[in-house]
Amino acid sequence: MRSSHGPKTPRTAQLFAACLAMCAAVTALAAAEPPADAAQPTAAPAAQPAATPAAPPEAAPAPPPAPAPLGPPTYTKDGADTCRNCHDEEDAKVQVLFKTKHSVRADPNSPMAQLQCESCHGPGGNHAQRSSEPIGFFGKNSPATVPQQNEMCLTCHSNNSRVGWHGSIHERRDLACVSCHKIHTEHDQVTDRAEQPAVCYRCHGDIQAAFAQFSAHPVRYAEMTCTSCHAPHDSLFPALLTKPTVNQECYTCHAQMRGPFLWEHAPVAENCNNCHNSHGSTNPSLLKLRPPLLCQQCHSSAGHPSIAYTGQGLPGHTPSPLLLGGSCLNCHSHVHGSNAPSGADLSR
Amino acid sequence: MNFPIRFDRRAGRKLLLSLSTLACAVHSAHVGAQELPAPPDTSLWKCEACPADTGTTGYVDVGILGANGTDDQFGTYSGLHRDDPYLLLDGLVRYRGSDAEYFDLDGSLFNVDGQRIAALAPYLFLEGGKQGSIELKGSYEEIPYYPYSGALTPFLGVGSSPLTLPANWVVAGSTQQMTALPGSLRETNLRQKRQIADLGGRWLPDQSHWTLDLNYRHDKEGGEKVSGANFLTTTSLLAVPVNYSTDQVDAGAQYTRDNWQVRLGYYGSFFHNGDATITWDNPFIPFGAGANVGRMSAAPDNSFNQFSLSGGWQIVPSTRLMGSFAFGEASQSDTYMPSTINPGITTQPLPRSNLDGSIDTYNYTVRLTSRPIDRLSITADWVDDRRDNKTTQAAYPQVVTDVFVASTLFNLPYSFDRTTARVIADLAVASAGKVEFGVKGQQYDTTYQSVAKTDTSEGWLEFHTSMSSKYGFSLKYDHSRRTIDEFQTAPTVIAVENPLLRRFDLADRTRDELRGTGYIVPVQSLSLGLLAERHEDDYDRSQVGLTAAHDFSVTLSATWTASQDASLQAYATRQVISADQAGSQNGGPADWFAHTADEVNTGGLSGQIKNVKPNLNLGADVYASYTKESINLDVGTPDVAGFPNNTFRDVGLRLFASYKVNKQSSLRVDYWHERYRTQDWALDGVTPTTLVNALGLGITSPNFTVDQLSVNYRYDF
Repeated sequence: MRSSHGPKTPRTAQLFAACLAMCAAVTALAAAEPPADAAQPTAAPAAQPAATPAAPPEAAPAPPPAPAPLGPPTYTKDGADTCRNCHDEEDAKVQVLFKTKHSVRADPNSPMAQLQCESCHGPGGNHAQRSSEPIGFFGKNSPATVPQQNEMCLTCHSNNSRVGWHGSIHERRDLACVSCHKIHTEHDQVTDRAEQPAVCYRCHGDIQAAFAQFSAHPVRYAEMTCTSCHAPHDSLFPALLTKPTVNQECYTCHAQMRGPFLWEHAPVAENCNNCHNSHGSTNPSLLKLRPPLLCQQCHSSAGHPSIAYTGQGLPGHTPSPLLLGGSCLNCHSHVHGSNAPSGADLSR
Repeated sequence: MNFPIRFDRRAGRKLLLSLSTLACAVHSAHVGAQELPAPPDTSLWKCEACPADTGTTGYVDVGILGANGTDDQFGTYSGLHRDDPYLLLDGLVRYRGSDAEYFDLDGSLFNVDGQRIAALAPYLFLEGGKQGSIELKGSYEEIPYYPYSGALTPFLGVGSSPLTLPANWVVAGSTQQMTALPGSLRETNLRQKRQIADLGGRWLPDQSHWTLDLNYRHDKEGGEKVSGANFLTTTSLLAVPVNYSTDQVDAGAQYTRDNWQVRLGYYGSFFHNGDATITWDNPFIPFGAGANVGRMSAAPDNSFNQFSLSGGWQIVPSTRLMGSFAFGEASQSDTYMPSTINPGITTQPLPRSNLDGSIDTYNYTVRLTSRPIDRLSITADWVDDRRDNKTTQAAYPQVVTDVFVASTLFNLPYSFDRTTARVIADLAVASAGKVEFGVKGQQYDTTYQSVAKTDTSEGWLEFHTSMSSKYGFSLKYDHSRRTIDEFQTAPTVIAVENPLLRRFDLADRTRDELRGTGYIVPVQSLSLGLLAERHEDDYDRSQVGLTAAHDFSVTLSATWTASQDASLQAYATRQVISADQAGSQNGGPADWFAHTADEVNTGGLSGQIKNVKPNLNLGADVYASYTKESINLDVGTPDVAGFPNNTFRDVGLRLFASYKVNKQSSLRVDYWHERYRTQDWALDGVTPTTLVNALGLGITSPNFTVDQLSVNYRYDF
């Protein structure tokens, strides 16, 4: 089969111009619209008055007058004790909060040591007076925008551990803190090594498939997890890695590959992902492709590197060590580099 | 075909500076600015209705597990590689004091956790301290790795060096002529185990803005792995020892204020190999006098020290500057082994006694984000990663596989510098969603390689809807073009390369990516998700080497919450990864072509019903993975033999039931059935003597069917 050059790619210049035009049009459209009112983070859809049942025409009651607004937001009189008047021990979702770190009043940094419930939910004085009054809450149904919701969390959680959050792909995709974290729960799934991947797989389902392949890092066995290599809100580095480069990340566990070696293998020194797929692969050792074809993508010198090894080299024909067993690695076993003086061919 | 914008480091810096100035010059109201009332006096907020979480709680699990049909491959990562009964022991202790003191202990000797996979590798996790003040952590865990079972070898001393042949061994010209081989073969296991111990802590001194952290990790890896060991055109696959240890230290001092934070950090990694060299007997007739013993190097001891400075500064409420600067040095100075172990060969002396290798690494990242108007945010990045190899070059006499003397060669200390600049604009489109437009440029410089410089330009456009409880979708198109800016004459190390070959990581390349996601919640209890991606790489100027790569995947997911007590999740993924490459047997234009394709199909269904009967919960988990790898070669004449597909099938069923006997006791039963089948033509049917000039290990691709049943009693306190 002759190699194909794949489908025709669009003419780049035209595409670039089209993208620019599209963005200009969108920008003009957005600028033409009246600016949206900055949503109050504590706002929730105002509850509609309950519809009254139909009454005989001769005795139709007048609908009750709409309650007068209570004015600007205020804090409660007694903090959590006010909230607990309604959200008491029968309210399981609130009750469980007191088993978490957010509820430790002896820690001056915790919400309960500060404005208590209102540290996160905003001023609740009006809500305490009338339960139909809105109070801030989080999640898909919240009227607050994602940045506004996140701002609540970042009020406390904006130390250097979150230095990479702003401008990161998760932040630009409007991922809310509560998309991954559950606060009113004793067990936050995403902080549990065994359960964390399931949270990430909600968006990264392709990675779940990768870890199910023949050769993969042991995420399925809870011996590694996504944050073993990635820092979802801490990292300024590519792919949200915990280290500046792929290689530095891999050397955390595979320091035997770091060198420096006397005889280096250039693609190894540049990027482990030149040959390996970090998550999983159908090939042993997480290789993208098995030797000899993988090696022959970069080596075609005269002699055995350039030979096409066909099925004739399989058992039942003329078995070839350049195809079977470790293939190229049957001899060139020091593929990551060699420190032997005579190891220039990576066989010693 | 060139991208209209060519990336240039100087132009990129100017662009970044211009955008930064623009962003800072536009002072806008803080996004989401809200007029909040003044905080009240909370000194009277006693929280009397707040329950106190103090005291000690936890649980202890004791159980027994029986398995049938286990295999080393089944034990990979899980440790369950024998059909013995296993004692299960697992526990959790949790202490909370009244003054923020806490202590957690979570340990398992052997356990069946609530997840799909049983982990019979021990672990222990401890954490304690005073929340918000001091935190101490420690952990220990083991990770088994048993990739293959049933390896056969005649070598003695497996797991150590030297690897010797029996006294009655008779060297031969081929494996089939090795008369002593059948009686010498003994089964050996290729198993490794990693043991990790971690100790660390964090201190937040009272009333200060400092946080100090320190972490130490000791990583020990032991066992055996496969390594080829050749003398010219004959080779043996050996089970060589793995005896690694790595010590890592991570320390930092962080200072945080309202609008800025900075962290000074140190990272040190120190690798030690218990074996400096591996020596083995040559089972074949030596090619030259004295070549009856070989010696190869093992991974040398090395170290890496890195200092970093990172931080963020909220310049104005709408604009933030972040950065990370790291400088590191990797070094290695293990004493060289001699050029050869062959006593009959004399060479020039080595130019030095050790490499004294040193590589400086520089990693700089600067990011500026700004929201000049309410609906527009701009992000600009500058990243520079540099590897400056300062290792001395010298001429090393070569003895090829302990057989004969060859030319002296100079080592090549590779360096490279990768600089990337990126600007992204995100515009909210009313309440519908957000449009993102981004451009990125990258320049990559190398030394000692045929390509001295490449230039990559990239642009993308994406739209995604606002977060909604009912539906959402996103669509992204990304296009990039990499071109070779400059060639250079690369020194020849071993053999002259075909001038038409282009290494794929340095070759001209056009890349197109299309990605779409979506979810819909037709009714409150049901959510459906879709993810589809397509990647196309075209190496349009590569006549030899990788010429094209394609990747397409689609993932479907569904979650049904029938009630508070019943839920069901399902997912399915199909992915096809294919590549085309060209080769040349004549040192010129391509005369053979290969097409490879991996088809990956995975899926799973899991469900749980709580309180089927009072206090009785049931659950089930089914998963399946099927992959097929195909290789097709076009050599001008039909490849009559062809390659059979390599396949991997893994199907599992897990059922569990838990019953709460009383407030403190519960029972759990788990049943797990797994059927694992692989076909690998590189291993299957390859006995130790299949290859006439390669003494193999007779490893076969793993296949097993395992049934596992466990019964667990839990006591809660």
